[in-house]
Amino acid sequence: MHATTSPYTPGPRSTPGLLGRLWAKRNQWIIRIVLWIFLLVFLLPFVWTVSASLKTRQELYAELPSLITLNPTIANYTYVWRRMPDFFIQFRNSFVVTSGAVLLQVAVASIAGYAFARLRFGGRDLIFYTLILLTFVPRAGGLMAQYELMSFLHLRNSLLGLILAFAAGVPIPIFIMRQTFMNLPSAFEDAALIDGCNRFQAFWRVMLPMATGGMLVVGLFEFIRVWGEYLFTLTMIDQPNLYTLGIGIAMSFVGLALEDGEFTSYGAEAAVYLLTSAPVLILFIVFQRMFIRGMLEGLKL
Amino acid sequence: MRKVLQNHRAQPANGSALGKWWQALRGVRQENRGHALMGYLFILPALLLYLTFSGYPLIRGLLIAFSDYRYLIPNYQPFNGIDNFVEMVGDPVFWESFRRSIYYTVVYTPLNIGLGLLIALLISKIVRPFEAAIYRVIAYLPVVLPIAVALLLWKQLLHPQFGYLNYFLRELVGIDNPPAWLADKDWVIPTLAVAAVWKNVGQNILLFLVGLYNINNELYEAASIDGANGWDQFAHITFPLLKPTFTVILVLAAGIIGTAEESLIMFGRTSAGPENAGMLVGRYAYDIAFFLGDLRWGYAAAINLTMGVLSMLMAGVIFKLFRGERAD
Repeated sequence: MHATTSPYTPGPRSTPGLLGRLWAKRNQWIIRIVLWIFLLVFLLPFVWTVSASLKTRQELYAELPSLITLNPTIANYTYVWRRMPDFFIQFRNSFVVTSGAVLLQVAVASIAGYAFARLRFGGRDLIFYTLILLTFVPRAGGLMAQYELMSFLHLRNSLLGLILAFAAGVPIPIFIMRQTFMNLPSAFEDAALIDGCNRFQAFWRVMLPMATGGMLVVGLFEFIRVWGEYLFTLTMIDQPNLYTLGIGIAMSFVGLALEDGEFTSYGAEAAVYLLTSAPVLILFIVFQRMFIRGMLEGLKL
Repeated sequence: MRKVLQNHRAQPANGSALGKWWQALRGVRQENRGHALMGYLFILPALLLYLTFSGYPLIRGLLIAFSDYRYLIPNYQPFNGIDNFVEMVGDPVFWESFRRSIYYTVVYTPLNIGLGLLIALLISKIVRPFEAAIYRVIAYLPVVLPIAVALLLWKQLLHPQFGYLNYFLRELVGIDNPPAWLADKDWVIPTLAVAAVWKNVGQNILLFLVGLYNINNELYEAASIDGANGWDQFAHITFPLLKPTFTVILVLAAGIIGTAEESLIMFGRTSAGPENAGMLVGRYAYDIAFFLGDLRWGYAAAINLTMGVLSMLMAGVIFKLFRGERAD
């Protein structure tokens, strides 16, 4: 019986008696408890990091490390602020690369998605499905060919190079934007065209404002992908002043705090992890409904 | 009930991308070409960007796999047919890392899919929408985390002496000699795989949830009137109707054989763990291409290509199995 419930259709089913209602309630609690056991595993590393970042050195050294700290300190954050200028350079680099890639990708994917959804031109569907099909081709020497290409274009060790390369992953974003425009009513667009708009104006003034949902989905997924990207950035960037956070934190800390058994930077390290993750975590929590939508679109592929 | 099921399934099964591509190719001549100029103009920026930075390297990368390209030797990239692949078959280090990758996949994939389905089923049973939303957010948090942060977090937690996990095992569970995890060559692969599950399983949970929410509630109501219990409902309604979701998830999962990032982040550029225990195939190819000798791009590309094709074959077989089977 309880299997009939789903978040989108709460509400009572076939008039249950008092006993039935108690039964359903008990089942909810069993599910909740089992679920929380799993969810704690997801949360514990976060809780631990937050508390480590708020602990004093003595507490971190303590015989019995506790999960929750009783007298929190911001010493670790001020340490990052005063002693780790690299962190801010890397944060700035990440911000430049990520916002650049997001803006560029959303722009080109929107206009292309509109064309694939609404305009008629020779080879339209062929081009579109070729793009989609190419995403399934195995990446043999792709990274090496990109290295070669970026060297040739003098875009290695360049934030602009990262922006262009990240924004270039357009097939799926185009797919999402095409889907978005196909779902919009064409009446507005037709009216705009009759009123004397040209195609671009109809797209820019009428259709695009209605497609913000799709643009948000594309932008969010791109933001999260680029903000934490590791392998490509590692391959393209050698100069420490151009490191993004995605590779910077791995470079600065591997072998520093733990492998020497040195503990002093432990709390600062936790603080850096949190500051690094904060932008994506906040974006995700604020826009979490969009992710479900993104998944729905993805399933249609 | 069977009738309802059939109606549900009668919705157009989305054809494969290849099928749609073929349809498009055949339809090219009958197309209405009303807005040719505008159309090309609108797709031009995206196409230029894609062809330059993604499409061209993709094709070029395929060609590299059939040459003896050594990056550090100037102007040296002779075509050598399948020599790279022949060499690979005789390369013991390759086989060693391939064995590790298989082990990794065998731990990772079932956990990632099984836990994903289980947690999604539990969340889907939560009645209050707001509560369910909170659980979804928690489950997806690790997915949005930058990969280096996620893995370094685990590295701290798993430190043999000072890590929280071993502290917990020693002091609270009472295990005197807990494993050294990443410092013990026998534990490296399962540890890496479990850390990756923690990072990625939220993706599967969300995908399964989307599939579950899409299943029409009438089916369950009809079934419970017919007297079907929870397990019957799962086996005859939920599972069959989740097949498209399974296909997507398994196709996504097949790509993990060639992962290079994990061991790079966990062990740094100069090491792949104790006795190279974290050297998965992807890492081996990355080292060949960017760290070792005269940077043998041809050989590295050949290894990557083999892994990619293998992944696709696996995905294809799984796809066929799930598509072909009738669940009545």
